[in-house]
Amino acid sequence: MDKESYDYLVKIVLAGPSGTGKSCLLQRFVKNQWDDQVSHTVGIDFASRIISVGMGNQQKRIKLQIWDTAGQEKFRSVARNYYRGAAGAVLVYDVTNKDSFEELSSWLSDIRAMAPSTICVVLAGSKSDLQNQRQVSTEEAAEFCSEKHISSAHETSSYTGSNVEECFLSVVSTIITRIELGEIDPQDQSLGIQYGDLSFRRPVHPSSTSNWWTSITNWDDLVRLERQTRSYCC
Amino acid sequence: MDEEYDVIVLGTGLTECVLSGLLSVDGKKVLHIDRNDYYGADSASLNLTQLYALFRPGEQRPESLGRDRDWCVDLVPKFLMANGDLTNILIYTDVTRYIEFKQIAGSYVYRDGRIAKVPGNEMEALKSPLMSLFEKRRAKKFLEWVNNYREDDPSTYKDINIDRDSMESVFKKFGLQSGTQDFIGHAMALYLDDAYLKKPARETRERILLYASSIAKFGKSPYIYPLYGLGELPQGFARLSAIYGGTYMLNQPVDEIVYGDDGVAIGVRSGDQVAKAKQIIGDPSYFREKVRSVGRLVRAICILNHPIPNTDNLDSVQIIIPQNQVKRKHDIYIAGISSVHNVCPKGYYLAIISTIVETANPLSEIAPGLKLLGPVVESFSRVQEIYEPVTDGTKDQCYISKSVDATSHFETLTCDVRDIYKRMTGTDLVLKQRPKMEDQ
Repeated sequence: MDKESYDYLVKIVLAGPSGTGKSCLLQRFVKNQWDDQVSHTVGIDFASRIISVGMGNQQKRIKLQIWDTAGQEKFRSVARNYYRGAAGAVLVYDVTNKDSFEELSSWLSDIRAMAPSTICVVLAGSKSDLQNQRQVSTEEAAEFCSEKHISSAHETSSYTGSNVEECFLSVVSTIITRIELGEIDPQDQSLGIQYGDLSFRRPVHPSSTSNWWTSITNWDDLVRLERQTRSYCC
Repeated sequence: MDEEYDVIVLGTGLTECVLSGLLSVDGKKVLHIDRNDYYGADSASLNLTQLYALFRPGEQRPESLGRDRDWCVDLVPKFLMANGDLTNILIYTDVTRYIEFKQIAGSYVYRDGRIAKVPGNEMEALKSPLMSLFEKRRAKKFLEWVNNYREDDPSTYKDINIDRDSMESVFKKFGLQSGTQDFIGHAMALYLDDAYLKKPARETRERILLYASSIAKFGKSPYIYPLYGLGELPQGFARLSAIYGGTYMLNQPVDEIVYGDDGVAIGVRSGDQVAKAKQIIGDPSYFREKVRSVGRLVRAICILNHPIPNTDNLDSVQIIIPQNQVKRKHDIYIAGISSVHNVCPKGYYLAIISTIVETANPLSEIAPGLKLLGPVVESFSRVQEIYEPVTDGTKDQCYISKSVDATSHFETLTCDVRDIYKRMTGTDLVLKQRPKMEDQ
C-alpha cells in the first residue's frame, strides 16, 4: 500500500487561549519534536499526519489535517471562518494556568456557534509535566467535560510527549465511530471529512471545454442556422 | 499593542486585508486593528443579528428567518471576475486554500421592459433576442477586431488608433446600433455610465477581453463567488497576514492617529496605549479629515423566498439595467445569490440592488430594480458616501484606501491595492507563489 494513501481526510482545529501551547502540541504530534523556540505561531497554516485506527479488516488509515490559529487568538481575533468545515476540535488549556481554564467556556461557545453542528470536541490540558505548578485539577477538567458534553479530557505534555497521541486518537476514533453509525456523512464536504481519493479544498480550476470566443465569433454560423430554421418552418 | 511596527493597518476591509497579507509576506511587521468585533468592515458578510444591529438598531430579528449562523449577508454586491486580478492574487498567495468558490449561474441585461440573458455559449447566442440578424454580423466583426488586435501587427488595427480614436468612433466604424453599443459597453465592458464613449478605445477593448476570458473559463457567466459570502475574502487574507506574523486586534477602538511635529504619522492611539509605526494604512472611516466624497451609493439588500423572476430559476445571477433603458446616467445592478452559496437557509434568496445616487430621493432610484424582484420578505437599504483620499500618503505616511465602489467586480479594488503598495514600497507588486502545503 502507498505510504501516502488514506481512507479519510479529516480536518481538525486547535482552539484555546494564547500561550497554552497549541503549536507545541501540534509539533509533538506531527513531527514528534519539542521546540521551545516557538514564541508565538508564525508560518504554519496546518500540518498533516496519517494514522491508523481500528484492527484487522476494520483498520482505517486517516489523514489528519490539523489547523493552527496563526496567533489570531492573542487578542481574541480568530476569524469566524477558522472553524468552518472542521470535523474535530482540540480545546487546549494550560494546567498551570487557571485563567486559561476559565476562558474555555467562551471558546467552546465560539466553536459550537461557528463549526458544523457535528463537530467532535476533546479537551487537552497542556504542560502536565510541570506538576508542581499545577493550578487546574484533573477532577475540575472532568467536571467541565461532563457539564459541557465534551467526549473526553486528556492531560498532555508536549515536552515529554505524554498523552499527546491518545488525545488526537480519541478525536479521530469518535469521528470514525460517528461516520460508521451514520451520524456524520462523509459525502457532505462541509462537515470536514473527505474520502481519500478526493483532495481537500480545491481552488477553482478552469475547465477548458468551452471557448466563449469561438462561440460568440461563430455568429455567422448561427445566422445561417437561424435562416435554415426559418425557411424550414415557413 | 505598545510596540513598534513597520505598518499599522486600520480596518479589516478587503483592500486593507490584501495589503496586510502582502506586506506580511514581504517580511514587514504588521499590526492590524478594527473597531468592529468582526472582520470585513464594509466588505463583511453579516449574520442576522449583526444585520439588524446595523440597519435596525434596537429591533429584534424575526425568529421566522431561522438560525443566525445560517445567514452571511454581504453588504456590497460584487462578484469576482473568473480571470480577474483578485482571482490572480488569491491563487498566487494560496488564499484559495481557505475559501471555496462557486460559479455565478447567469448574467442578464434589461432591455425594453424585460430582462434577457447575456449569451454564455453558442446556443444561447442563437436564441438571444438582444440583437437582430444583421446586427449580430456587425457585432461579430467588431468582436473579431477586439480579439485579433495585436500591438506588434498594424494590419490588425483595421485603421483604428486605439489610443486616439474614441470608442464612439469605433462603434460608428463598425456600424453598431445604440442598443448594441449599450450591450457591449455596459453588459460586457461593465461601464456604469456613458463617459467611456468619448475616451480612447483601448480601455474598452481590455475590459471586453477580460469579460470574454473570464466567461471562457467556465461558460455561463464571467463571475465566481466565495461560499459563505464575500466576507470570506478579507478573513482569508487576514489569516495569510497572521501566518506571516501579522498581529490582529478586533473590537479595538482607534482614538487618534499620532503625528510627529513634521506632520508625518508616527503611530496610533487607542485608550492609553500607543502603537508606533513607520507607515499607516486605513479605510476612509479612520481618516475623516483626509478624504473627500466623490458621490453617493444607494444599496438595498433584499431577502426573497423565491428565485428572481424570469431568470430561469437560476441560483445566482447578475442583472444589469443599463442607464439608457431607464433614463438615468448610471446603471442599476442587481446581484442575486442563494442557499447554494451557503449565505442563507434553504428556500431563501438574497438580492442586492445598487446604483449611484443621482437625485434627492435615492430610494426611488432603485425602484426599477425592485420591480424585477417580485415579492420581498425583508429589505434593508442605505445610502453611503463614496470617499477617496485627498493626498497620496507619501508626505504624511497615511495610505488611505478608496471606498468600495459601484462596480460589480473587484478590478478597481485590486488597482487600488497595487497603487497603494507601489506608493508605500516604491516598487511594483510582484506576486510570488507561496510554498505549497506539503513543504510546510
